[in-house]
Amino acid sequence: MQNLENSRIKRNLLQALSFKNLPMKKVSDILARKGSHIISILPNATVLEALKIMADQNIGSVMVMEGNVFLGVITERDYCRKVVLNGRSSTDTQVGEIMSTGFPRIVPSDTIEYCMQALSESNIRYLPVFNADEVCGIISINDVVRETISSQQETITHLKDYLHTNM
Amino acid sequence: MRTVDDIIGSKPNPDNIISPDALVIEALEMLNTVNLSYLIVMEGNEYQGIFCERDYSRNVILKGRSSSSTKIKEVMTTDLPVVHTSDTVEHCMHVMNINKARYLVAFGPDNEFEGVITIHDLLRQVIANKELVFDTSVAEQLINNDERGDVY
Repeated sequence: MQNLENSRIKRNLLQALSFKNLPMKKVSDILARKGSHIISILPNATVLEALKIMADQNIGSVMVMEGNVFLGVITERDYCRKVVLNGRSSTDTQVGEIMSTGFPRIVPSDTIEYCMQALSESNIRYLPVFNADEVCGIISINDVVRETISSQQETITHLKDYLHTNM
Repeated sequence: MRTVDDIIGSKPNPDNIISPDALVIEALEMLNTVNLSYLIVMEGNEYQGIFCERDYSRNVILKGRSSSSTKIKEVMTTDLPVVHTSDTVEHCMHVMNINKARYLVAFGPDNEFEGVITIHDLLRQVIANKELVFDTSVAEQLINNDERGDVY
């Protein structure tokens, strides 16, 4: 009887471990962890100013905003592809001329899995997050990897807790 | 479990290779042509480092250099975190995360250069095969042995 009971528990636990059955982490979990502090720049700032902000903050993208209005994101890729190769220079090109637009629209309730697909399909590393019509944060591909790992570790922790209270 | 070997095997032979003596401007043109975010810097058959979008953004104009007179070897990244072909994808995710990196360099059993792995490569593995990326054996061990010893 004891053995039967144990194998039933074991089967249930293994089922719980099948990741498809786990509640998916959400974009709001990432924003809660890293905060929704937005680093932004005006569209008429120079590309050089954007590069300085990226270096000072150790980030790879800066949101382009006019007041509360989101206009786009300037990334390291925009700088590599759209400045010197197009005969421009970083001191006389404005951020608004080379920023990226047309991101998939991500909201805080979207799952991490959905973000993975969006990042992978568009081959990009950043996703701005919107709440109603206002931008409320930005998540990076590194944030998504980190959240995936931590959700994996939480599964193990929950399992340990469960075992210690039930056996 | 999915390993570095599986990722390397799934990638086409790299065409994003540049010499350390090439100019930054040439590298920018190549990045655009191959439509990738990094180039592998090779001296003959020897891996030297990578040149990525961040190297250009941080190490050229902000340090008073110019793309038409600076060589790749002056600004490239030479300290990528290292993984081995037998390491798991899950291990790579941890290494990537701890180092806040976007690239890892992979070496084979005799320390020969095998390739560069990007954070996008890891994500694609998770999207395609989550069950094969994360090791559930730790969890299974927990189920089979608690701290008081064998349960089953």
